[in-house]
Amino acid sequence: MNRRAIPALIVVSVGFAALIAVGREQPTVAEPFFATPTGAWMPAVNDNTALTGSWFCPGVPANGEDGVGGEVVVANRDDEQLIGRFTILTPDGVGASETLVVEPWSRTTIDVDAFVTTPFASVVVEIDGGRGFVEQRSQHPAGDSVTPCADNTSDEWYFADGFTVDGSIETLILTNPYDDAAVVDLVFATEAGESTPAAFQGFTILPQSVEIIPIAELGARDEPVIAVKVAAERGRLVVGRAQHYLGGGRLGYGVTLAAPALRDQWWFADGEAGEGITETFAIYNPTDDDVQVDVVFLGIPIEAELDNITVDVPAHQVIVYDPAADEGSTLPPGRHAAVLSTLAEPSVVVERILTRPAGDSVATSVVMGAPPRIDGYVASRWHLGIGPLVPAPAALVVYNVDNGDGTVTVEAVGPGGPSAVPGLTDLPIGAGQVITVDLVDPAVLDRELIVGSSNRIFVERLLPRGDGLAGTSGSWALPASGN
Amino acid sequence: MEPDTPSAPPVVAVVVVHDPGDWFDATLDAFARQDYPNLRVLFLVVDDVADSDTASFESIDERIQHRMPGSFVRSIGANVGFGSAANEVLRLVEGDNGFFLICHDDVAPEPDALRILVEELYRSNAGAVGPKFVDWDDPNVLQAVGLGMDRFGEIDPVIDVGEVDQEQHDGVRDVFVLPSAYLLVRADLFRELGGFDPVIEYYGEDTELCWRIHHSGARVVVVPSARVRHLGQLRQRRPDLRHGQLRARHRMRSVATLTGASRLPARSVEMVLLTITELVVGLFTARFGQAWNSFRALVGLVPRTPALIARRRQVKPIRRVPEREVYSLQEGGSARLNSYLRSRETSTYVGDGVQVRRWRQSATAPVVAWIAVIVGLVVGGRSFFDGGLPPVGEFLAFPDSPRQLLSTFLSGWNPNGAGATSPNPTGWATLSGLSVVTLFRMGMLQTVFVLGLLIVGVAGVWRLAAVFPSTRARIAALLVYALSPLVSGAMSSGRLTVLVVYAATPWVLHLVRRASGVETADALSAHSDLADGVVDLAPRERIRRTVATALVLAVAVAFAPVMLPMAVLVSLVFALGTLLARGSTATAAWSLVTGLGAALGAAVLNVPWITSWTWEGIVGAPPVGEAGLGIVKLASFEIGRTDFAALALALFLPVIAAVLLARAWRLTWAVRSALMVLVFGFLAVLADRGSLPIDAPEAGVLLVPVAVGLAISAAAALAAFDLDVRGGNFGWRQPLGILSSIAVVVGLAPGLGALADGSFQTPTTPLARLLDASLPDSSSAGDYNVLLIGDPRLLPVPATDYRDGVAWAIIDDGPLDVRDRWMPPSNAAAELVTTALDEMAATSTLRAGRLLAPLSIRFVVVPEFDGVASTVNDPLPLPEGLVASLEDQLDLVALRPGLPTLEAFENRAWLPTYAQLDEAGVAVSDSAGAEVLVRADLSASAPVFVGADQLSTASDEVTAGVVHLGVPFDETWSLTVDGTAIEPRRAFGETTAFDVPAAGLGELRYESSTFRWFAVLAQIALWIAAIVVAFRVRVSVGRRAPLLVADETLIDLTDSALPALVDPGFSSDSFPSVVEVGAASDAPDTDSVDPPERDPDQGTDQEDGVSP
Repeated sequence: MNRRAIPALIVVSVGFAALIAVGREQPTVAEPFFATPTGAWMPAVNDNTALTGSWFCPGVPANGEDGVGGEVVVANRDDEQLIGRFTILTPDGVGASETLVVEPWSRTTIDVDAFVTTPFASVVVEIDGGRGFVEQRSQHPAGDSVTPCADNTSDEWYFADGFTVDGSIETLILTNPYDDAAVVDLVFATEAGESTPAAFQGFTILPQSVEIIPIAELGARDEPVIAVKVAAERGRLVVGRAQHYLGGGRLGYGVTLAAPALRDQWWFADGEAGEGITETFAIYNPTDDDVQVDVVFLGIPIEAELDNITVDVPAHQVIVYDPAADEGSTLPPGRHAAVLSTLAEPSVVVERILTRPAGDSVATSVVMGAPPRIDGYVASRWHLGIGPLVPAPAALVVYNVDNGDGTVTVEAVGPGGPSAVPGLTDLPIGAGQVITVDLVDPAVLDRELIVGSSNRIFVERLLPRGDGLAGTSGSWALPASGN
Repeated sequence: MEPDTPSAPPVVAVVVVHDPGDWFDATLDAFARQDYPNLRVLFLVVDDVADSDTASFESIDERIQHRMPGSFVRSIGANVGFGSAANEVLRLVEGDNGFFLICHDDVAPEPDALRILVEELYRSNAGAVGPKFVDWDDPNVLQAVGLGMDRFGEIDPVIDVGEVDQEQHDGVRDVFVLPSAYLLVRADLFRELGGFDPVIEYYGEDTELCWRIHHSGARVVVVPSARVRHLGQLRQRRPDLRHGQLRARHRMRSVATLTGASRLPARSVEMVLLTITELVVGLFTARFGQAWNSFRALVGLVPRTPALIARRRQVKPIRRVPEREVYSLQEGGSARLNSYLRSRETSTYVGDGVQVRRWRQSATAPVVAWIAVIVGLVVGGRSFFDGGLPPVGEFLAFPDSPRQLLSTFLSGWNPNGAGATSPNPTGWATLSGLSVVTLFRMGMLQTVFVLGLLIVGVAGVWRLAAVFPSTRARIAALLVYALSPLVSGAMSSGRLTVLVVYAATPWVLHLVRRASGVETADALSAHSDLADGVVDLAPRERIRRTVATALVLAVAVAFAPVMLPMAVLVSLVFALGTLLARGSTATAAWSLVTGLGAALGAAVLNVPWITSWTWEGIVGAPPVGEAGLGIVKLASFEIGRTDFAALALALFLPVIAAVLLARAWRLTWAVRSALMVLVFGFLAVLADRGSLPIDAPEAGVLLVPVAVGLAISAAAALAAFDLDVRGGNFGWRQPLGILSSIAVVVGLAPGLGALADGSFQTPTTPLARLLDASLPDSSSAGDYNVLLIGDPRLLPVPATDYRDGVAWAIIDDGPLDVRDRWMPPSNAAAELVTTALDEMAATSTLRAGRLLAPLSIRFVVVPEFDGVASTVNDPLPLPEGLVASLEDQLDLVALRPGLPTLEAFENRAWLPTYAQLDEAGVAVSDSAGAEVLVRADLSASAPVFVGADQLSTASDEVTAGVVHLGVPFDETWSLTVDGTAIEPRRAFGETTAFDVPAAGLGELRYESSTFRWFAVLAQIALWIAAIVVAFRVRVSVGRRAPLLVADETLIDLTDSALPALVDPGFSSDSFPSVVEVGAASDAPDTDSVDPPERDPDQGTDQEDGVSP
């Protein structure tokens, strides 16, 4: 070999060896990323700076009958005036569109039925600057109901529960706030299995309008459980459900927001076992795979030994889990929280049906579970745009997620801003404990409230049903988005 | 000095002298020893006082008088060319008796040479006679024994290069041409003919003269018994001349002026066809320079038509014999073509300290190889010839009109993206100029341009591989480069940038090595372990070659800015390879200097466009969402669709084999090419892994030098096998050499297979076409822009990086064309778009459409499949959350019916590009910021100036209020309403608006600044200067310098006595005082002469046979 070649050969050989060594591992392909998918969490109060905040209320009754109506409350949690616009959507299109102003640390109420008369109307609120949040209150002779409005639209929505026994009326409210028509498919699951009524496949929701679907039209009469999946082939929408319970063990009225995504965890702060109380969980698995769902009750005395509870939920099925019917899992009387989770991919949606005695009758509340955010975040501060108008014992149910003791403070928002409520400051809460907070102080009535804690917490509220009706209606407060 | 009355006819020798070297003493001695009794010698000395490098007249006169006292020596002043100088004899010598002996200053005739010529002239009754020329240093080697000529003016040298004189040509015979180096011609005939054609300075003056002698009926005879040594080094003595051009030009002139009128039309057609053939063949055989010279000369005849007609009139009186008789003396067919067909060509090779001229191995094999490559290309791209190139990737359609392209270039407005005042890419002007090639048919130009890039690239490697004097090696390099999967990959994915780099890189390397002095080494010097065949270049020539490199690089950079850093890197690797192979340090240094100089020159030639460059613009949009091809795909060049590309891995075997097997210069090149593969391979892998600290060009670009390295490695391996292995003792080297050959064949398979499809598997429905079809034309709704966002590999235009795997670009409402492939200028639009995307990604608003409205973005499009990088079977993932975020927006509406290949949304809040703002818009247009925009619903604004652009003035009725332009704020836009100029102002903080006080007829125009025009003129001047230097263009200005010779009579032949007996065999009657004209009709049939092949490079009319 030529002597000149020796150094070159060494360099080239070593170079190629190094090249192969460096390149032999397949480089990791970075997945392109634009934004975290929206709509996968529950409605939240944005702590970040935002250009605008858009809120989509699921719908309130506004048929003009006595005692029937609805209102939307826009809360300003800032010391600057908020300017925004609201649009009332009805089955016939835009019912009204107005500018709104919310003074600092104040609330503005939109009386929906004062603008339109229609079976149901939805309100879209856009707030400049985004430092505000929106909730709605449905008013009905069978009881008022509060629910947060959605802070985003989605192309799929789920309900795990539905009920048409004894003439109970269930109505889906599909709201399309966009300028373009949406095309959706509806899937229903009952104890008999899943069905896809032809009339609700590929049906159109006109731009900026509301579509009302009485479940009875599906032929699902006297069904103890009806899960619903709404999937948009085109466009995005907001889905709510109005439920008027008339028998079958349930009574009352409520309008709730559907879940915009399937998740693997669903948390509930409120839960109760006791005389006359029935608590069940509707678990809907619309996926193609069977899943197992673990049910864990939390905040119960340590001495209460419960078996591991696993519920099999077949694909495309809805299962109602009744702890009372589970002999191995007799819950001790009193409050408890619960989490239902699966190790499978996000695949289920869970609602809790809680019927408590109310005077001589009962009052039923159906609450969708609260998922942690995709990144695991659980808020330590929660907002209530709508609080009790009258003194309400045990109006807040707080569950401490963390393993450490902490405190809870309730602040009422007045003209000067948030201020702690005497007697509701630094309330102790043990690790994994559920506490209730009485909202009886006049300082908290008809106010925006902020529930803060040193720990991560889930907060449910139980508001009087109004109109002198006994009992309460449950709903989630709005978590702060953090950051 | 007047000699005594001689007994022999008088002969006046005319020697044209220009800056003679040491050998001139030998010339003088040889003339002094002539035994001819009646010889007077007239030296005409070029005394160019303007050229301080030439020897002075006084010193030359002194040398002459020292050795030849009594000679006539006269200065003729400036150098006017040999023919014109020699013609001075007609003025300085009175009378027609006797003969003129036309001589160069570098001949040494034997003592009896002139006497023999005179005797034979009388004996043959010839008009002109010439001797046998032999080599100056080795008189045993023949240089010329008369010359043949075909009807196209091509010279047939009759003898072979280096042919030893064995008296095989010693018969006296008629020839068509005699070299002017030593030519005896009857004085009366020379005077009657008017001497040499004064227009012909060098090259061809003897051909033209002899042709006219034939027309006059006189014979032209070679007398081999008269021997003359001839130095002949015109190229070395006159490096300033464009030798090839002069030869071609004068050849064409001779044919045009001396071909008979009856044959001229047919001859003209033949010349055109022959020249075209020459161009085509020349392209494939590294002789394109010669062919180009022929073409230029042919075209150059057109403007010279009046002069040619005048010359024909001058020549007409001496046409005494029928044209057919002269024609019969010329050779049949084409002398040049014959040389091709006989595969007998020579080339100059650099040995160990010497330059030698040897036969090339084969002249037909390259032609066959090239034909195969061309046929392969035609087959591989056959669907493009009738259907045109599909708009895949960067293969965007060319604009309909080259004028449009040129106008856009000249304008100061760059319409790419959202538009901005910015220097426009040089490539636009270049393309516009290239449209001449296809007679301004832009569709054809696109096909020719893209496919032409492949040919240019392969031709570059062919030229580069000329460092191997082995046809097999060159063909191996040719095929490896031509059939690299890189080609099919780039074609299938429409990577024009890769193709430009593919075309330019081998040329840059070739030119850098030439500017470094590295030439083809002599195969016979293999044993000496010669590291490189290096020639010493004069500084001027080195500069010229560097400028030529810069010029080539500048053209490439005009289309692919990334070529600039690539050229520097390639030069650096070349230099490092030279050092690693223990080559000359000077060569390494010069290559680096040349590369840097060329890069600098190319950058300067692209001023002012270069001032708008950013690193992102140079390297192209970064491959965000890293491609992650992996080393195997990179090594097999699988950047696009190529079946069985992994077989190309076999091409890496010769890289190692060449280093192991090669010696001498083959080893040097093996090391250089291996380093090229290694360095750029490393860069490609690191870039692929995202491990480089800076944004890198896409993999295809970085793989081009790898492909060049593989091609040269293959050539080096085969050359080494031929020269270093074959014939040696059997050992590991032979099997390795054979394996390398097999590996080359295997490695070519994928490229060969890629030709079968006929369209390189380009998608049938490219994204650009779908995009164009799915979006509405600009209409009464107004002009608009489109925001493309998504994976940058899917975007049909260069994009701005947003975040990992997401990039964006703005295009206008017209169809995409090639201008869109250039990176748009960076401007405020980026901030507006980025803000909108940020807000959308952070779910900070559902009104992002309003944020995009000032830029007139009506549609937002997310490509999903382009049929190349992302297919239905192998899709690229859409950026997470992108489509959902767009769907979230309340003012973006999905476009229906949707296309499966893209997601498109219409922005319902859009503002036309030229719009009259409504009240809401007017109220907020002087505010800035996203907070303002997001509240402003501008959708009620009305379009105006629909269809306006920066190239013309648009007129429309406007109302009082605000006219808004959806372009970043620019003061060079002007609006006049009823003749009143309105100052532009910023709108929404970033865009342009005019406050119109009252309704009226508005005129909107863009006015390019004066600076822009100066910049364009300066750029044109720079290009012209570079071309002049690189191609040694000389433009004659003013009148030619007159001869300094005074009007005097030095020699009088009028009363010369009859010739005396000079040969025992002849009486005085043999010397008639007047030779009968027309006695040449018994000229022998030239068909009976078997003319040996001629090397066109040698040119004996003779390139090396003409004294300056």
